[in-house]
Amino acid sequence: MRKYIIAMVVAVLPVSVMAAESFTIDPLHTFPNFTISHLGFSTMHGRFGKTSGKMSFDEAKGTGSVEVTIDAASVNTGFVKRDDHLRSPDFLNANEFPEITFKSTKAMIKNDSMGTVEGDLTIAGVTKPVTLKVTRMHCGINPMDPKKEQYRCGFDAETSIKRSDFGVKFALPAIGDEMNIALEVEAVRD
Amino acid sequence: MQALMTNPAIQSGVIPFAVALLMGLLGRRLGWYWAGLALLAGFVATVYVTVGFQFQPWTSTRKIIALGFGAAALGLLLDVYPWSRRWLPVALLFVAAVAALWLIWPVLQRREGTDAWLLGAGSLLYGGWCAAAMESLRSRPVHAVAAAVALGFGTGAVTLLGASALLGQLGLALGAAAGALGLLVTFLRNTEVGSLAMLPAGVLLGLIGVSGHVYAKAPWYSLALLALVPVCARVPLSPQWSRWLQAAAALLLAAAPAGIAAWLVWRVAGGVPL
Repeated sequence: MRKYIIAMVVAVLPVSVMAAESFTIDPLHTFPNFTISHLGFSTMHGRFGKTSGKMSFDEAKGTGSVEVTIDAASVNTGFVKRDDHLRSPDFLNANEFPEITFKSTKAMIKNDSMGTVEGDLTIAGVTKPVTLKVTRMHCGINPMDPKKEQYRCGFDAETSIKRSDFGVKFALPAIGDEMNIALEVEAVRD
Repeated sequence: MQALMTNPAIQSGVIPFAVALLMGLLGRRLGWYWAGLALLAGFVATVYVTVGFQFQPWTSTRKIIALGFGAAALGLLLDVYPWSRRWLPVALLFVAAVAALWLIWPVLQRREGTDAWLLGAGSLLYGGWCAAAMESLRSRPVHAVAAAVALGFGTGAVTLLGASALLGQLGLALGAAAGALGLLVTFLRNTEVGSLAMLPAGVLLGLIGVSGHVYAKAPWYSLALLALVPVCARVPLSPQWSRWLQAAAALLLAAAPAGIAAWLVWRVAGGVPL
């Protein structure tokens, strides 16, 4: 009987370990970006250059979790003076709140690789719940890996927030309140 | 109307000036130092139309606003009660330095070694100096408002060019409100200023300057020049001169270091990103 139980545990263990695999976000292929209206004339694009985090994913169930930490000071809109302004207390207040974070609370990916990730987004010290719409997800062996061993997952997700909800109210309504945020993430299996 | 109220020039120029002028005219009728409340009223009006009065979570800007109110309450106490003033400048310097420490703590705790010491000592010294030096001008209305106008516009310009329009607006609002008070002091002889005006002016402008350096990109040497404003405003003027000539001369003297500071920052940083 004892041998039988041990055999059962040994047999089940890999399955449970495999169930939700953990990944580390690849900062070289993960650049959160945003768009916002500039005085109503045009749409301005910006992105963050430094991102880190972890994720887990159960491919069979389509469930998982993701935690992303963005270096607020790494914002880049292609114009240094504007980036300095975005880092200032007027907007991201990057010296006082150096990290923008997203922590998922519930993730569901359907068979067609689309789904939703619910979680808490923190900007400038204010945390609000948001729902990311996943428009694409793919997992597999990295074809550029010479050993063909590196397994990675990637997803594209997007959401829309009102920056005023996070206390970022400078120059409203001239500079748009609504921000579209895109989170394109790649992560390598641990 | 909405477009007017969201115009930065209206928010940090016209509104604080008009509110301070009105409050000053009403306040001086009550006698004594109540006209000094004009400066804080002008600042409050700008806060109302820009960032509002939400205080959670604590950000550097919200800390500055809260500390400004605290400084006004302390200034009122100093005016109302006949305290011994012997150790007051030292006490104010210490209290304002502690306020500056609270302001910059989120950044200071992440710095190490010489960098942390330089940032901490410089910020505490500047915040404390502005509060003590400005308050010490309380009984010399012409000199006091000249210092407040020059330090307000100087701090506003330096922080605006140093990449924070919001801090710039708050500094400029204090300069505009002090300008309104200056008109009353110049043309209505029985208008006083007192600690009620000068302590919050010194605390607020000192902390806005510190915040502009720590949280935006106002260079340290601009603050070193701005620290000379209360010193230049103290230069004795001939009592033979008319009141408006004294006011103009005091303003010119006080504005010199502020103007140089703003010019240097403009040379390095360039214009405001629009």
